[in-house]
Amino acid sequence: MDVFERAKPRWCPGCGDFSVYEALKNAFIELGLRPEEIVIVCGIGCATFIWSYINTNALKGIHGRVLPAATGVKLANPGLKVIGVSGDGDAYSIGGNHLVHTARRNVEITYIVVDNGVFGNTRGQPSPTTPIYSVVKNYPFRWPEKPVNPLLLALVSGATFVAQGFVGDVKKLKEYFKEAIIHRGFSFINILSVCPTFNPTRTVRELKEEIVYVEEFGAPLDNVRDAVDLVLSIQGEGKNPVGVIYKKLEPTYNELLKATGKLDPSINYDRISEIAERELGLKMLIKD
Amino acid sequence: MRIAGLTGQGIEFATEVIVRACAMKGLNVYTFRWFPTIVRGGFTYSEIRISDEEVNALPDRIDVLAVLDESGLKDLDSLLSEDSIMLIDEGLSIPHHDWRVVRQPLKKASSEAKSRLNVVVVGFISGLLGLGYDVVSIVLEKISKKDLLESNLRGVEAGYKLFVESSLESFDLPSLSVSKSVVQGSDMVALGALSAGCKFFAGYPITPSTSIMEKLMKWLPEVGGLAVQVEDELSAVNMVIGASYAGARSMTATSGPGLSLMVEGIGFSAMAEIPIVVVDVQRVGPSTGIPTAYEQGDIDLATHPSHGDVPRIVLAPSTIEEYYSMTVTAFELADRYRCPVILLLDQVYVMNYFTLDKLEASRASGRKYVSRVRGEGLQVFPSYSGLADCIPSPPLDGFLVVASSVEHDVRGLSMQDGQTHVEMSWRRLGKLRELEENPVEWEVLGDTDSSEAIVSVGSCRGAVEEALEKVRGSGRMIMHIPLKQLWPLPRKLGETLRNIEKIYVVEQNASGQLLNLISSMLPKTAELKSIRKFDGCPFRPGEIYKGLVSDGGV
Repeated sequence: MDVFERAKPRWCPGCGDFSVYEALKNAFIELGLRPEEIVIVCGIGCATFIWSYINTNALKGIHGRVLPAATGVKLANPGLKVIGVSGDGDAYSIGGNHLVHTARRNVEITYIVVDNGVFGNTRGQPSPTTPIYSVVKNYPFRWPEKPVNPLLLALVSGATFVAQGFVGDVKKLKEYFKEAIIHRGFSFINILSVCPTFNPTRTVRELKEEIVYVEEFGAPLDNVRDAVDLVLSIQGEGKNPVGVIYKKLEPTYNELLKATGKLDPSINYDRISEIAERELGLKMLIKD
Repeated sequence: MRIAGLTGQGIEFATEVIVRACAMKGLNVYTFRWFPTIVRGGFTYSEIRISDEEVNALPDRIDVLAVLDESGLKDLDSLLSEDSIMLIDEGLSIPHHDWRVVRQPLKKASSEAKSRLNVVVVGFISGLLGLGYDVVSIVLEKISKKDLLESNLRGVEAGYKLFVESSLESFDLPSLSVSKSVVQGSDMVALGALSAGCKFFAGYPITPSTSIMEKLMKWLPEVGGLAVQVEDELSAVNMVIGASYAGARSMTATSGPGLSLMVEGIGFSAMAEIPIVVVDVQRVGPSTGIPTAYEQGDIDLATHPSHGDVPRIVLAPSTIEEYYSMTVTAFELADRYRCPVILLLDQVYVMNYFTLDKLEASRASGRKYVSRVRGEGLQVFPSYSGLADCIPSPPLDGFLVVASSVEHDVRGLSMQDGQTHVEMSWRRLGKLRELEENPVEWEVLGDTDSSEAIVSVGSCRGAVEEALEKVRGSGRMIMHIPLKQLWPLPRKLGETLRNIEKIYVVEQNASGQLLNLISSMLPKTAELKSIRKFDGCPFRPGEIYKGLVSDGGV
């Protein structure tokens, strides 16, 4: 048992979340990180149970709000490594708006979205990444909506690290995690995953046939237009790009806000009195 | 006095000049501004009550009315008397009236002086009130935009000249020795946050709370803190929860619609026992309502903010000074009881101008961390046991810190059995019993051995006190409780009112939310009367007085 094990993971047999758990835990170990310096921020959904199994600090939040909570942690204490974990419902449905805004702010957090194309925790409803016309366990018709394209969404929103992982390749997934965690900026990883219980037609084997490793095409790229073209051209062939697609260094939110240290809790009454005097001509009498 | 006209005519600027001139002369002011959501061309007015004594409410009559546009002749009801002076441009037509109308070539003077109408009016008024041209010039130099200063000075001079030529008698307001400071409630809340050791703020622009965010954006970095504007209120409340978890006293500020969006986050704060302060500047609802107008319609929502059994504290300050002191209290209570505190504020105090001599402040304890513990083998810290009297934040030496929205054991780890839920519910709810018994914010005014009592909330206090002065003049004794801790309701409320025969509940909303909230605490035998108003403007003392002396409702 290593230092990052809190409890034995429990998901359905064959669940993609096991791979994410293994890869993330091993990424922490190989990066030499200590559990005390990591905060895992989770939303709602099967994948987010990961905080119960990996032994780090954890903030288990409400549905869809992983990124605002994670941003709050990072702004208050930039010394912490902040990892957000969501499913596709958490990230692209209820919390979709926050992805756009956190990406463009370039908050230095790693955002892991385990994308199995179904609401598993509520037992089999279509999700924002469910393909159009597909048959979903708890939806009576063929699904009439086009799916969200998470990679393009992250790229055009200004994420400075965009990757896609695949639960059938844990070793590579771990490497993407490592790269994402050390990236200075908002690192986004969508993970092609499976839910054998509620989305049984989408299998690891089937996904494997669709994937194309982007490193063959010179990725990671540092130009958004090239990255978008690459994603579109691979998807246009009915395939799925896997790997680190885009990476670029830009000033982080903390840097731009000059919030590079932990917010100091002490209260400077002299400074506050100065503000009151300067801004309002108001005299403050501080009693002891 | 009132200045009325259209938005875009600079009535706010005129108000600020007059208020600051009064303050320089050591006079007290109470102001209220009615304004529409449209930025240009909507009916607006500004009322300024000026006195050498303390003023805490709008007046019952208007002595001076300056009209910048015909549409400003609205909502005057019985506020004008035959002694009232109405200053109006000679070119404007007014309906049949029996007021003292002073027709002046204001527009002509403004174009001749190549200045704006609002400053010409300020010039005339400064003469009429006796504020002094010098004092007004000093104010203009302080607050004018650089490129407008010359034109503003010319305008005021032209207006002042018109007054001199009008041979009207000046009110000759006195000059007191010590000048006052001009503050808005938003200043007090922002200063209170700084003084409480708040280091993080996240918010989304919404009338009428935005100015709190704008002030903190400027001031927080000066004390080592940070304020950010985010994408929506959902983000704001969750971000302050994240920051508080990571060790910073944190706050957000919003108004009704934003509070509606934040309620799930408020439940999260309560469940995870992560202290936050949520400021709600109430406006007219429901839904979008009248965003710019005054109402106390969020009492229901603030006191019952989220699903489940949510420990929460709701405070409603009743004076401008309390906008400062109770903001500090809000942070102290949030940390002490590790729960959300909602600060329920009134538009009238937040957005308008008031005068203060000085600000008395006591030192806050600030965020107290769990320290001097040393864990072994990286156990999860028992954040949710009686032992943790300070707030655990990562990184914690030898421990891990877990905070969770899911039902949990003492360490924060998921535990979804009935027994744990029962135990943890008692823990969460039991925390506030102390505050129920000993409210931190509690005050009883006036005649404590009377058989009649008034319970009021927030800014109604000033108008109630003024009405009571008049009532006492006739020998009638009435006790007044400005209720400041709305949740948990202080037991003292019931005990204090136990033998009261007639109780008046004063509030500004349509359904009587305060009355509903406290009704279980009121003696069954007492006669209850609700005095309420919800036309978007604060009570005037006379309106309360009418409610106290008549048998019908207001």
